[in-house]
Amino acid sequence: MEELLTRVRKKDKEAVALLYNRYGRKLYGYGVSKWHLEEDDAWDLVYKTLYRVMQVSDKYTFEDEKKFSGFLFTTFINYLRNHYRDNKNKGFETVEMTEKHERTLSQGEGESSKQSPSMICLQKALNEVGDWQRVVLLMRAQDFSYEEIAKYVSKPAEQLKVYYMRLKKAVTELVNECLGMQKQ
Amino acid sequence: MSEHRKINEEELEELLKGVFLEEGAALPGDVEFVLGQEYDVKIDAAKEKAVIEKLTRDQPSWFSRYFPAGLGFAVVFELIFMFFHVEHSIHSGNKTAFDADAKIYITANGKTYGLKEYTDSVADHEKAMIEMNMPPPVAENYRQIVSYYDSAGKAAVSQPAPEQLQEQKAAPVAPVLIEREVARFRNLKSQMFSKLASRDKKVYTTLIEGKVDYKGKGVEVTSFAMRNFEVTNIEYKAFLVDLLLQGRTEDYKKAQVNTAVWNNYGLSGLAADYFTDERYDDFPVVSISADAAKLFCQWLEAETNAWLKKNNPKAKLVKVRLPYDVEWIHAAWVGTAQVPDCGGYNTIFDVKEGAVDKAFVRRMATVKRHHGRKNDSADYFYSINRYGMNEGEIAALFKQGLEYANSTPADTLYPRRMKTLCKVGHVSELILEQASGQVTVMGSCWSSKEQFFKMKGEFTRSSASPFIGFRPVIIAEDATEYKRPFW
Repeated sequence: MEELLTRVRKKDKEAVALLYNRYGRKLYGYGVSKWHLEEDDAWDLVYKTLYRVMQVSDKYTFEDEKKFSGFLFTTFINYLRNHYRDNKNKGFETVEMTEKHERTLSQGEGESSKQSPSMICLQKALNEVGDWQRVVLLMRAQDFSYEEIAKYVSKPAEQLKVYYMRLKKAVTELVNECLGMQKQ
Repeated sequence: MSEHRKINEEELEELLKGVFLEEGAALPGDVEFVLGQEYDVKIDAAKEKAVIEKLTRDQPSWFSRYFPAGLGFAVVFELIFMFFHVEHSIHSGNKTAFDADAKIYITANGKTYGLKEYTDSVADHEKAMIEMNMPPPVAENYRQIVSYYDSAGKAAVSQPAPEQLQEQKAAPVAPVLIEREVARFRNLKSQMFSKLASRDKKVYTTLIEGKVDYKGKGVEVTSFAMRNFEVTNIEYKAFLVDLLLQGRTEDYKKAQVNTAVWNNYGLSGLAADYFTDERYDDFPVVSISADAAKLFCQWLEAETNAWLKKNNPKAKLVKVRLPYDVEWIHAAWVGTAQVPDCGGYNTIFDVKEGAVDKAFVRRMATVKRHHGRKNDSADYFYSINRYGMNEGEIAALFKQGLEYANSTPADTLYPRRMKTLCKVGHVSELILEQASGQVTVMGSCWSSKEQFFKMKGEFTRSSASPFIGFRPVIIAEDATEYKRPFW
């Protein structure tokens, strides 16, 4: 990773291909298969992510590959969020949020991000479930299969389906309970 | 989806997608998991090739990387020149000046470029843009350096003697300042002096002289004015810029913020952002040495007095320094200093350490009871100990604080916002022991005494800490008014 970053900072022409092969291809696959992006949209997000990473590569230091890939992934997710916000007919809510390392010159300081009541209630409900249950819910929302999730949470895949059904029901009830209280 | 309408399970899935996008990942291991999967998707080879070519072609240039739209403070320190040696070498006709591969001529954000590498890689129009943003004396030097390399070519360059290389490496650095940034910081500086001179009540609290029981003895405390919150990043930037404008490069080096100490705690994002990002302008300045804090106080005193002589010649001059330990205790006793209630350990008020006694602790209970009635929501932040938090947690805390604080006009010191964000960025502070004159660290909330002393040990080793800031006191020869306890 260090060698890769060094080459990116030196504007080594092969560094672009290395960066794409190590990360870009995965992001493309993730975007298309889990978020059902159109091909061109997925390419666009990959390009923006890698361009941004190259742009800031010598502004930040990364302790290790984990930190670097975390930064790169977060950048991709931010662009993905912006993509959905700009295409609101996709159907699910997002909230305004600035990219962690982005300077917010155009945005006034201290502006609150506005969340819908259902999002607020969902976040409260997710705080009440355990870590692995939260992971199951969020990963299923991204269309990861039970087999894939089972590897991550170390639970048998065949049991996960049952857990997931129960979790969804429980969380939906929690959210609706919260919405009912808010309405009062 | 209308606001409070109940949802069904299908809608829950859509909301979950939104939550994921907002938070970026469920758990830290998610990134590895996602990037470790094989995705069975068809990749159009032609489109893939087009993206790679576009990325190669569009690789950010050196110029656009370091001079983005909306220049901020970080950009002020983009170019670091060794003017003294380069200028001297050119004018003296010293033919053994430069090595073509010499590394230490232009540095941006910690990365250095050999000058030849820079002149080869940067297009002429970009060089012109850079020159345009420089103050005239600097631009002249820059022009000479560039033309020397452009015209001299490799043949004129020879290897410098080793002692010259050593000298080059040790040469003082002088960041180039861009004119509009200079104007901005001059304005901020003026606001700082004006607020100090008038003892703006939103920034300073004046206390009359008194006697305080300290380490078993009664100690006289002369009247003083204390800042209501720590020195902030933006004020410290104004100080650094002024040192540069005055040509005080040695002092500038001494006063530099040691952002690298954040990395000791795995906080590399904050190492990059905390001091330079404008979002954190009103957070307390941290990661500076005790000498740097003292230098700030000396500068503030000298410059405020110069400002007073010019703007209000009849006014009494000020004296500025770090607070004494007894002054802290006096301010807490009187009830003008807020004591954070974190349910953990507060250093200065530890009876076992001997600075205060049980009477003081009882008094603090009274102060706390009264103060509790006047709490504002920002006090929640004041009781949080962020030592041991990971970067995501600290960033989330800071973000919450920024959302809570009101927006402010650009280039204005807005005390209410500064006070709130200094509570959010809650730090321990550099204090002078009155008896010895030594600098020590006190204050803030710690989960335990052991944790506090661990942090203090880390500060001693690094001479800086991301958990320690400072605030000055102003010595008033005679206070004609004082602030009553807040109740």
